[in-house]
Amino acid sequence: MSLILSKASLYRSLDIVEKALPKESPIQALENVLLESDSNQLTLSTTNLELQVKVSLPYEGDEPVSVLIPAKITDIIRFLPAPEVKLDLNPDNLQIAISSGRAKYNLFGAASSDFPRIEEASPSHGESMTISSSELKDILRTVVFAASTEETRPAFNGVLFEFDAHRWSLISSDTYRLVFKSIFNEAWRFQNNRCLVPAKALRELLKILDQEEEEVTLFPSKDQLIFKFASVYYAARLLNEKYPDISSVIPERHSTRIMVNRKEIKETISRAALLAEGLNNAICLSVSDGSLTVRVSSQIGRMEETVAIEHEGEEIDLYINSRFIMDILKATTTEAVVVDFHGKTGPVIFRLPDDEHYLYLVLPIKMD
Amino acid sequence: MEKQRQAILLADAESFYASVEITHNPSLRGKPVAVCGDPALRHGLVLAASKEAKAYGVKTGQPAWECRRLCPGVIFVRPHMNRYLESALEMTRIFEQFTDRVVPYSIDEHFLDLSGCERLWGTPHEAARRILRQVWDETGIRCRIGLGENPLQAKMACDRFAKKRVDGFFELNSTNYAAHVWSLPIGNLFGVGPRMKDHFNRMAVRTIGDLARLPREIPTRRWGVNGLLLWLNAHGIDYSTLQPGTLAPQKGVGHCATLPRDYASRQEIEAVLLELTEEACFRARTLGKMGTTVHVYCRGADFDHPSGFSRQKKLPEPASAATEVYPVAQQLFRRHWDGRPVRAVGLNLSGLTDRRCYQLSLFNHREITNSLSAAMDEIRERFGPTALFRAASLTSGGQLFTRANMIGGHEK
Repeated sequence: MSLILSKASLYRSLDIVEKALPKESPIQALENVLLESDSNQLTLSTTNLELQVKVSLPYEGDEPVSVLIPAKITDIIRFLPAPEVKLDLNPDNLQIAISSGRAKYNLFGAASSDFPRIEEASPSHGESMTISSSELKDILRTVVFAASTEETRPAFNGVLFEFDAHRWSLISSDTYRLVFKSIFNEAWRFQNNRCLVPAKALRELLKILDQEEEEVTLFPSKDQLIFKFASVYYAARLLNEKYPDISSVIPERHSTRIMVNRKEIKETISRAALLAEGLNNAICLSVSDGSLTVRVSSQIGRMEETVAIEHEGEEIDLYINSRFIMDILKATTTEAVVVDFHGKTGPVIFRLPDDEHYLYLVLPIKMD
Repeated sequence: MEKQRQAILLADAESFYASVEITHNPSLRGKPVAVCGDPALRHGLVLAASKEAKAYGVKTGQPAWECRRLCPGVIFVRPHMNRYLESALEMTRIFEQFTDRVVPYSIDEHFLDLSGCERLWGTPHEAARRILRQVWDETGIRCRIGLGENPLQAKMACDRFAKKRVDGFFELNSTNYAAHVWSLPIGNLFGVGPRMKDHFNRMAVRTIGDLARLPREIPTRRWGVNGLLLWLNAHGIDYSTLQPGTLAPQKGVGHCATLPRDYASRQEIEAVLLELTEEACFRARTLGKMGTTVHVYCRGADFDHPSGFSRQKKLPEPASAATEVYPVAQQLFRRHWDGRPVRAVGLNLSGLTDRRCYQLSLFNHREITNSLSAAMDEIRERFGPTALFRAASLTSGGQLFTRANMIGGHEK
């Protein structure tokens, strides 16, 4: 097999498959990239058994190819000197010759027999949805950050996807805060289905979705959730954990509602966060007629700042983790945010004025 | 103005447990006495020996049988931990009449800072003599005092010299430190244990002076800050002070229980683990704290083939209730226990944070566990530690009722 590719497109493909490449695996074959060809395309695949990624490249040739290439290939391609890369595979000794400009490599490939087969799943009837990559990215960015990265409660390492008729909703939480987001589309026709998608796979997906506008097809299949876009097949194995019922945690009536300029409050909170310390990064929020006062006092010192707000309902003051507030203010892009309070120990709910189907709920810190 | 010279004293009670027993039973005075757990049981180890017993070679930590072989006429006395705590407090009270800067270092050792007290008590030497006499008159316990310009010199003066002198007093200072200390074997330096001694011996460092004469980079490069610290110790330099905060705030709470016999069944060991969890959580709550990390420790029964483990795990969120801590402790135990009989089990709760300030959680109703714990604490406070207990304590493995009669693993 011999082919010439653009360095940029090959590097981009390798960068994508690298997301599922384990640094170390008990199955040594998995520490490689699988290069395969069928009649008219060449594919690169990796898996860490939780995530499978496959990218296809155009290819004309009739020799079937199947070889494992060392993971180093990504860096090798990245640092090549010329814009074109020539790959030659010797089927007898499985060596891959790479040449580009002055640089020449000869990599030792391996037989692919130990590498698990990746069977591409296709959606069963009425179980898939299509969404633009930019919209998907916006949704995931405002949802995934709330999922836990701690390993102590595995269910919260996942984002719960619920599909129901024309509605897709996402729930993510680390038990201290929670995001609830729904999207409606008349074109979608789901049967009722729930799946718990590892937040880690979604964080990696966010990194590779950044290119030009594409259509993403998304569908569950057995124990996986599959994303297909452009030449990429991205399959995340679902978590087999019980997700708690969240219907009771979102209160119906708020005692205080404020609206505040997002950029302004973001700057204030980031200044306050400089002094917030300890496990909880606690700051104090006080709402009184027409203004929100942010206060911190720690071993280093004190700070206080007041922001103008639109305010209705009772006055309130409570302690809250500044990092949790920064997360939402960074992930969103709206002009203003609406914040609902529910008493001193009730949740604080952030809403976006232009999206009634999004809410971010944070529980305060209790000071006895 | 010339910098005032520091006068730091370390007062150490001679054969403390044994001395306290003798004050309670004067007929023992002048006889070889060993304070020892039940000589019939395996935790019958010598906790303290009077100086008459020590003359026969009896040492702290020896098993009872060995002690009897060395000194056939030895009189075994069972420990009374309550008495020792009382006597220790009494000694602290006496020291506090001389200075308000008293830092207890162990049950029978106290640091006293007498800097600037010359007008009150005379020279530090005179003050030390008064302290020794007053402790003897009021408690019947003989103390020894080391004097130095810093805590290290005081400790070295006491351990290496004052204990061997009839008047029970010795002074080290920056001028005489090298002359007295450098000829001592390296193992006598504060901070050097048997392992460190072997390391030094392999480097041909046999005396404290040998270490002092090395360029400081050599121990520093090899052992980092700890190496530098030992080198400074060899020179009698110690930058620590007896200001409040010298003793770091308590980092963890927990206990280790030596079992009355080797436990081989999971149920029995887990019963003890649960009791230790309850105990550690209770102590955390009394301090107004919650723990963030739980540490489980198991020591295998076979001395010749040391086994066991010591592992820790972060809790999902800070906790001070056994119901939250125990599942993690149990998980650690089940993952790391190799199934061989166990001689001792320990549990520690660390990373203590303020219990009154906590992040509320969506699926964990801490208010309920908190008020339950508070109710349990109140019952135990009023009616004793065995008034309310978990059913596991009634099983064959339970140690609660034995441990309730102990302090620090020894009889009250």
